[in-house]
Amino acid sequence: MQEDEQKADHEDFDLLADFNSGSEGAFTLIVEKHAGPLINFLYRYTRDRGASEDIAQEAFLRLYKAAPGLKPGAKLSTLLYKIAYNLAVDQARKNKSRSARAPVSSLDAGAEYGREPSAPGSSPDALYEKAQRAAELNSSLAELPETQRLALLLKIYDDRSYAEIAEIMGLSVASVESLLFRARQSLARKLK
Amino acid sequence: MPIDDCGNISRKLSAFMDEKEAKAVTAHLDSCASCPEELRRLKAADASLRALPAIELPPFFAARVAAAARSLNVYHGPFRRFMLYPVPAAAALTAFLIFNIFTFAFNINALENGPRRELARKVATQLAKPASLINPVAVARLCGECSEYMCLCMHEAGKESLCPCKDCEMGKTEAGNTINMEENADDN
Repeated sequence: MQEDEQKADHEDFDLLADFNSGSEGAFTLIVEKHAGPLINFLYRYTRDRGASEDIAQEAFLRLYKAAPGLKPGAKLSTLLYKIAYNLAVDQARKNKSRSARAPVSSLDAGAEYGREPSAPGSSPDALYEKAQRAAELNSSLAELPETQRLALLLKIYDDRSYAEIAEIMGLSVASVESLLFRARQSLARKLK
Repeated sequence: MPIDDCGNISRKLSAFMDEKEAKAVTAHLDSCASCPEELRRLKAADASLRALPAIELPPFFAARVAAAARSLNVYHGPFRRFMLYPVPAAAALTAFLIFNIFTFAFNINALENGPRRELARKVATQLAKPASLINPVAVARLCGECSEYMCLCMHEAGKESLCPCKDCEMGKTEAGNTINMEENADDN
């Protein structure tokens, strides 16, 4: 596991070096490698597909601008998530101030998951139950405080270490540990 | 670890799931009735979240982002590349200039009074006409050997007008040779 992570970091390092030496193709490879997990992370946080794609694109563009000044040992994916995290939090604050968040996005989320391809031969009842379950999980997740939700998403879907989550969120490792504990406890209670 | 320490242990269950807390929690879990149930609930919540389907990457997303990045054109332009290293470049240039000025001053100082005054006069004359500094013929006048070499080259190339000497000996010799050759031809 740790070896895989080191290998991935090394690849990122090579790609960054290629990009800094003028290869535009290296930047496309960086985007292809990180876009999937990043968009999924953002989507699970914002629950808005268009917004998550926009934030991901903006994060990549900021990385593009920052790349020449990055140290060779910089951990690209952590940096990218940090940029995306800050953009997403800013966006959420703007949305909150406009009171544009809430029931609409929840309905969107349910609809989005409802459109996911299902296994062949699934009965309509099973599909309905699955969609209901997904909607229930999403609303439980949405009820968690923002920082708890983000820490949990980074841990569960991206399998980030506590130190990485702390770096992305600008917190201490102890705070991350505490956030994850409270997030898991709240979620378990809600899903009882 | 006392068996009734469930309050403290349950706080560590989350870290235990992430393999951060092992020894103390494992020991407690073996001897406690309620904490394994709490751990099962936490794991079930994690598993439910992991089971949520992932969304597909939009088509051509990478190409779209790469195109948007190219349109920024902030990094790969030649000017930007040049501007990335202004401080070391300026430092190197300044060091080079200072080195040359010191070497030049040292050489001048080593000269006798007469030649020194002559050289200073020549330098002052050249500096009074900055445009002539980029003229190799004018610069060659400052240096005796360069001047001779350039004189030789120009005469060999048949471009006497570019000879840096004011009163060129080679020109006189060539002219004398030409007159002699003409006289010889007349005699014949």
